[in-house]
Amino acid sequence: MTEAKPGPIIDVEGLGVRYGKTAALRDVSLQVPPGAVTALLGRNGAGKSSLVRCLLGHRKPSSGRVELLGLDSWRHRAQLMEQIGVVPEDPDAPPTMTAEQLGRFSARLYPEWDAKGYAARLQRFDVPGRIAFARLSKGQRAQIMLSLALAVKPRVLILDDPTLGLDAVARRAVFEELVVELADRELTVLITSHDLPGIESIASHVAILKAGELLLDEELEQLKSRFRRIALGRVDGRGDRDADGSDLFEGLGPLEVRSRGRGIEALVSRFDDSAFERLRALPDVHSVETWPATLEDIVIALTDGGSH
Amino acid sequence: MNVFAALVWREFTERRLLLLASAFLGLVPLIVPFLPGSPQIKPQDLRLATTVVVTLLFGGTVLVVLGSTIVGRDLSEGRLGFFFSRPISAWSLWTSRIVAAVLLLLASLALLTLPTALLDSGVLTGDRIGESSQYAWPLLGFKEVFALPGVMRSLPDMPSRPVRLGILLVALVTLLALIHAASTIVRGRSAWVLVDLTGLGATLMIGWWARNLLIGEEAITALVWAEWFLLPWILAAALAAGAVQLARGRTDLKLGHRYLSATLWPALLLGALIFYGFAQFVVASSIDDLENAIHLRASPDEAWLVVGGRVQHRGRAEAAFLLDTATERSWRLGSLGAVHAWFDFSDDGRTAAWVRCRSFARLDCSVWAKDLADAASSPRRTPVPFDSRPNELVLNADGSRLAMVGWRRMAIYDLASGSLLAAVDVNHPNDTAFVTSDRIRFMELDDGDDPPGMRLVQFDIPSRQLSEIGNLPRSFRTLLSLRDERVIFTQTQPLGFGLYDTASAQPVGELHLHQRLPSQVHFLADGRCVLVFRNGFEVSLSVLSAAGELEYSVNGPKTLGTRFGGEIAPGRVLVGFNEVLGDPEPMSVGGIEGATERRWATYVFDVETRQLEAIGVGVRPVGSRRNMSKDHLFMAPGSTILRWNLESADHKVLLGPFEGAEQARDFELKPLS
Repeated sequence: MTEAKPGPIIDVEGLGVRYGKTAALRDVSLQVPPGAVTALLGRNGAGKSSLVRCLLGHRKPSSGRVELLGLDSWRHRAQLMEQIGVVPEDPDAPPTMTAEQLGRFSARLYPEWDAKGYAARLQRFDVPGRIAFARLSKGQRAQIMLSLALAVKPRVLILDDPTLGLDAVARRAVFEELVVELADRELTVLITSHDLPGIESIASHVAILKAGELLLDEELEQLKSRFRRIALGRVDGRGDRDADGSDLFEGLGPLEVRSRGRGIEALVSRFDDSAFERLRALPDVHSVETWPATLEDIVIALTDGGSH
Repeated sequence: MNVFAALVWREFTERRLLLLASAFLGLVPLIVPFLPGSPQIKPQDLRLATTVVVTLLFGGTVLVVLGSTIVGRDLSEGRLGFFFSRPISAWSLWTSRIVAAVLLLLASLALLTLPTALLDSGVLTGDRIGESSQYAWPLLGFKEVFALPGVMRSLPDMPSRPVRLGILLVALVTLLALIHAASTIVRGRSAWVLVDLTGLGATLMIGWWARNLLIGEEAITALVWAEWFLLPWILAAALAAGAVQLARGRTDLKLGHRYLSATLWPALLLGALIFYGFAQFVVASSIDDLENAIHLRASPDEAWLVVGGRVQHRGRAEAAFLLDTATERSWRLGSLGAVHAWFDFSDDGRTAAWVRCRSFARLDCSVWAKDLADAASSPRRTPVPFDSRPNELVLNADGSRLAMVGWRRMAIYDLASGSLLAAVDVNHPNDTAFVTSDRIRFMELDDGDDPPGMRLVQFDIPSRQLSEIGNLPRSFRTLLSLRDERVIFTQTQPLGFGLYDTASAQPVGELHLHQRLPSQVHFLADGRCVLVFRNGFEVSLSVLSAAGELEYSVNGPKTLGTRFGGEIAPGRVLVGFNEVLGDPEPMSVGGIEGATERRWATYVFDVETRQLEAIGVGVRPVGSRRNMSKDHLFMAPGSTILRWNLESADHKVLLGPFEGAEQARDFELKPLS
């Protein structure tokens, strides 16, 4: 007897969003399984925020379907929001309210409001409870928004670039809090960010948008296993300055190929062991080195239109 | 409910500074009387006046600020996403903010007026607001008091204070929602503003047309009905537009603007179209829609009858119709008020002319006419360029000329061509009549006296010369003889009445019959007149010679009123008596109507034989005093209008009985002996 596989928590199918004549998203399909931490990445204007707005039911898709927890996010927004924690790109809490007032206000909106947890997080973040939201630093505002989102005891957490504009300390605090929360409970997260090193530490899945289209959606480990950097040392010691050397990486999906010293360095997207052996067997190659690409390498290579 | 209350409370507390400011400004009126240079009037009046000013200015500001920011500010500053990312429905968000704004506004008004109200309890009931307003007007230039107590007080005919409060609340919510809509349109800054401007223009234009239609018909109650309908309609449209904006546009300002406009303007346009349709329905009444006949005027030969009364299902609107008694075909003339004031038949009975106005604007009237000789012709708008409201409209004998008489100016036109024949400055003219087609006679009232003195004045059209015939006594009431050669006055010095020759302004006779004034006078074709004197229920008819000498008096039946009809033959006059049946109860002011059973009866009074001959029971004459035939118009119970041949007693019902009018009772007609 086989167990039924649980359906995706976030299920986006053929999503299109238009602003007048401009298409912000085109035929985007994305599934986020339960418990996954999906990093939604892409350059500015790639369509990340449009996708998040559709997920939150703030905007009706121009085409396609967006479901959260099995419900249409536009039609059932208010109902869904009881189980969803949100941290927006710009902390948007009412500017005159203090952290304490925000907590009391939220307690009346959510049936499972975690008042103790909210207070504890504020204390951990060292955020003053009685100062108006608008008078706090950007980092403190982001920390309050994260505290509000987690105190909901959400099944899904949606974070739209929560560390934008924060200093390194504040960024680390946010990510550490997320790591703690993720370790404690089964939580599905969709996070957009430009802080790629930070997100790499918590993401289990990665989806990359480019110009409104989804380039990829897969597990981070799998992604990193197939995206590798390779350095070739040539026997004749020439860096093959006359040619770009791409033909050496034929079949590996080269994204970047550049001369480096006496050899050639490349970022490939379809690396496997047989490819490695094939490179070592080349007659004019005396050494082959390979190491994992960083998420930043991958995203830059995929989304920087002119370099590969 | 918990969420809704939380949202309301959040909005309320967020804007608590408004309340602090209101509380502070509420104290200002208490300080003003002690400031140097303050007006030297009673301190309580100065407090009230200051309260009115402060409440109007600050209350109005709060209204505009709340309306424009209650949603718009969060939306344009990108903070509405905070609420849409929480389990809050768009409807809860919208209604909670409107409720919070109304509560804030009411609290603000209360705080502004409270300190003065505590010192002077009259403010709470509005008793003193009129008194204080005289000081507020010059400061503000407003004609109405909009302070809370003033509004409560100034609403006319409201049944109770809760209803007034309800109206105030509806008005406040409507204004808030409309200001929010305007704010969204301004903040949206998209091409949809063209849709908004088009919608606004079309709505205002249709509404303005509808309003003018009703005002032109003097259908003020219908207009009030329409306003009662429109206020909640506008409220519903504005609230729905705001709700749709948030439900469909959510955090997107431009998208929300489109949804708001796409909801608001169709709804308002539909309301305006319904209003316009209702106005068209009101003005499109036919004679069959009459509920009663409260104005009757027959042409000299009684072939035509103007009937005016309330028309059903039209907000108590009144209309007048011209009825051809031969064919029973009718034409709508316009509002009853205009026809009552400005309508005339020519003496030859071949022409009718009247004024129709499209609004209360001064220059929005036109002169209409109907060729009665061509019964099938329709009324036509004449080319007469007189477009304001006259005091009198007078046709000459053959209907070719028309005098339009104002307080200060009289103009004579050729009715067919509309050309101005002559115009002259006058001073409060009255009882204007064409003596001939080239000569007009009228009485001018002296300003300032009560009752006013009078001058008899004549205007010669060809020479355009105005000449004074002579002075006439101060009088309460005048009545011209059939051919306008005599005029009778009820005068004050000495008390009595006098008969004057209109050609010379000289007295024909001074009459001191019973030291009482006649209640009715009827001139006979030969210059004699019949006067009715009443003493309680007792009635006597007195006949005066053409020289004004009393010939005799006879008693009539016990009656509550009389009405003369035409002179059906020389010396034979139709008289209707509202007879009292049985033993009348003692007269008391205001108790007559219900205390005594009565009915109309028509008699022929033969001046030569001094006999009253009863010819009809349950009917009274309504016809012209110039009709010397045997066919006359009468009114029977239920406002039934009938034509009756007095010789054969054949009759034909032309109109009625009307539903809801006096219960139709039997009437009897007898042929003349």
